Order: sequence, then C-alpha cells, then structure tokens
Amino acid sequence: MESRERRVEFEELVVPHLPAAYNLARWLVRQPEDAEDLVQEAYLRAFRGFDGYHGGDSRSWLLAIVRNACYSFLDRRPKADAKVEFDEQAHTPGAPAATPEALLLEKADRNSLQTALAELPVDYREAIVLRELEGMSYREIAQLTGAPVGTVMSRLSRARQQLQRVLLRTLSKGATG
Amino acid sequence: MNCEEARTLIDAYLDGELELEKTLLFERHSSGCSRCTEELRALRTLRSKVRESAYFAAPAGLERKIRDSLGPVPGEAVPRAGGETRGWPVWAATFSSALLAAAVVLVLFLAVGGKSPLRGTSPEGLVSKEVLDNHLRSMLADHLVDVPSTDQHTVKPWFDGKLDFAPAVPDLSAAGFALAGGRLDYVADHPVAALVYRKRQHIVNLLCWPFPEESKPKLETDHGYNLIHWARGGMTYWVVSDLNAHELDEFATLIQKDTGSSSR
Repeated sequence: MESRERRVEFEELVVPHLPAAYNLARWLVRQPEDAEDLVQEAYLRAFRGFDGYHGGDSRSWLLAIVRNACYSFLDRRPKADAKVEFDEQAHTPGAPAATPEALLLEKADRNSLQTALAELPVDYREAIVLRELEGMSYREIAQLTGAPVGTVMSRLSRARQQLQRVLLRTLSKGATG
Repeated sequence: MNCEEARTLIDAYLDGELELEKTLLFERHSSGCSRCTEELRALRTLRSKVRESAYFAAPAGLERKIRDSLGPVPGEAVPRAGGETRGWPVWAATFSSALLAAAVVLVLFLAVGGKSPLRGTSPEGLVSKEVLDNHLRSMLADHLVDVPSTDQHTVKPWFDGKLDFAPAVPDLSAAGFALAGGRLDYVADHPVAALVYRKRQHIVNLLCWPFPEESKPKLETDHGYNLIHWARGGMTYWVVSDLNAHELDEFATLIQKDTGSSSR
C-alpha cells in the first residue's frame, strides 16, 4: 500500500543500510557492476515487500534480501564462482613459522588482503564479511544465513585459518631475502 | 585447559562469544602459552587487516538511483531539504560512506521534522531523539571529541570545571571497547558528558548527566541505531551506536557495573 508514511519509514529504516548491502553484495558476487545491480534489485524487492517487515533488526532484514538476490544470481551463472569445497587435506597447518605470523601479516597491504579474501569460497567470505565488517554476532549470522550457530562457528574459524594461510603464502612469496 | 582445547576456542574468545568461565580458563592458559599467544596475535592482526582493508564503499550515485527507483514520494510537491528536488547536496559526496549514512539519516530527521512513526512525542521520546541527533552530529566533521585520548586518566579530569558532576570514565579495552576520548555536549539544553568508545569500526557514544529518578535499562532501535538508557544513583546514562544490540547491551552492562549503577 503506497503511502507517504510508509515511504518515509522505508527511507529512514532501510536506506541507511546501503553501505552494508553493497559491501556484502560486492563480496558475494565480486564484480562491482553486478553488486550494484543486485543491490538495486534487492532494494526494490525490499520496498515492495515492506509490509512483511514487522520491526526488529532492519539491517538483517535487508541483508537477507540482498543475500538471496546474490545467491540466486550466483546459481544462475556457470560454475566459475560456485561454492567450492575447501580442500582440507592440502592445507593442514604445518609447524610454527620461524617468523611470528603476526609480524608478517602486519605487512599485508590492502590489495593482498582483498585478493586473499576473494580467493576463499563464497560461504567462507560471507562469514568473514558478516563477522568482521558488519560486526554481527554468531546468533545474528546464524539467523541471517539459516545455518546453525555451530556451523557458523566452524565456518568462521576455517575461513580465518584459510585466509591467514593464503595471505602468509602471498606475503612470504613476495618477501625479499 | 590444555592447548588443544584452547585452540578450538580461540575464535569464540576473540569474538566475545565465550561464556565467562571458559573465557577465564582460556585467558589463564594462553597467558602462559607462547603458541596460543602467538596465534592470538596473528588472529587479531588478521582481523584488523580485514576491517581496515576490506570494506567496499557503495559507489557515489547508487543511493540516488535507489531512491529514484522507489518512485515519487506520495503527496510530495515541494523540494527536499537543501533545495534540491531529488538526491543529496553535493557536499554529501565528499564524506566517506559511513559518515554519509549518518548524514543521510540526520538530514532525513530534519526534513521530516523528527516525527518518526516509530516514536511518540513523550518526554523520553524527545530525549531519545536528541540523543540520536547528538550521536549523528558528533560523527560529522570534527566534532567527535574535545579531548582525544585513550587514557581514562586524561579524559576524566578534563571534565573538571566544565561540568558540575564528575563522569566515570571506565576502561573497557579488555572487552574490545577502546576509549576514543570525551567531549562536552548538550542534550535538551543541559550540559552532558559524552564519552566516546570504539568497537571495531563502530562508534559508541555514552552520554550522562544528573537525573533524580531511577529507571531500568531500556533498549530502542531507531533509524538503524540502537539506544540503551537507564538511570540510577542520581545520574542518567544513554548509550547510542550503530553497533548491534547484543554487543551494545554488553557495553551498557559493563558501564553499569563500573558506575555501580547495575540493577542486575
């Protein structure tokens, strides 16, 4: 039902979450143009479905719509960026590094970090984005992604481990002797 | 707690999701274990790198496109605030997107006269609106702190002579809330102490001033921001942030414990 009050409420409650919506979309689908299109699509859907919003966390409500749009988009595309099973065998932790890892990681620049994060499977990327960039709690992430809290925890833990390994690999390749 | 168990808990520990008993056991183990200490350090570095480097700001103009796609605002024949018929004033493009979000909300606030369908005009509702305004304004331009310091021993005495009460300035860094500083501010024309904390990229404003009545902590959400307030021991405390409600509640509880104003 179109009404001024409804429109104003939508703009006050939902539009301010655009930064979160775009950032999530960008990390899920990777290409900026696709992310932009999907965010617009999500906002239209959110607006049309605004009667279905019954109060509570408006950010999560919007991000659920953004997320659905992104995953539908990914499913429609050829295999290129589908969820990839992370090969645990090839990446078991080795002996502690000679140089403290924290020191190496400090050297990571913006590009290396983004490249490394982009290499992760999409569900790992998503866990990191929602936890680190949106500051969601495990329970909030569980509700948003429809996964049990235990899965969220292990996904996040593995995501961080993988990110760390990829980043350290990149950094030690680039390190001068 | 041994190393193996500690390492399975390290993420939950850093995320503040571990219950108190396990947290203490974890800390006791890790403080004496170089392997775990190193992993903690590496993980903390990794997390802050992600926070610094990974946020993609929405492109300029996307917000306007979205608003336009929602169609004309029903019943509106006059231009929006700023004298433009649509979209945002040019100055808005010079802010980062995080500040832009705050500026957007603030302009909306002013444009619709603060009459949110979500909030009544009770005195508490008015204070709530003023506290949120205060929070938003503090994040624009250079107005976040008058005394920038992470040291409570610098911030607390700064208020001497400026206010006729002495605000408590707790150190909450162990819980991930870093003190950013303090400022003198006004809510409904009376002077208040504003203490600014940061958690990750979120700013938390804690406003306090003398208040005679007592009230239990109450949470509200408005324009995507969370506000918690309570009053005890002659003071009222308002906490406001875009941080999620769960962690903001954690913050409020810590403040209550520190100021002896906990009713739990």
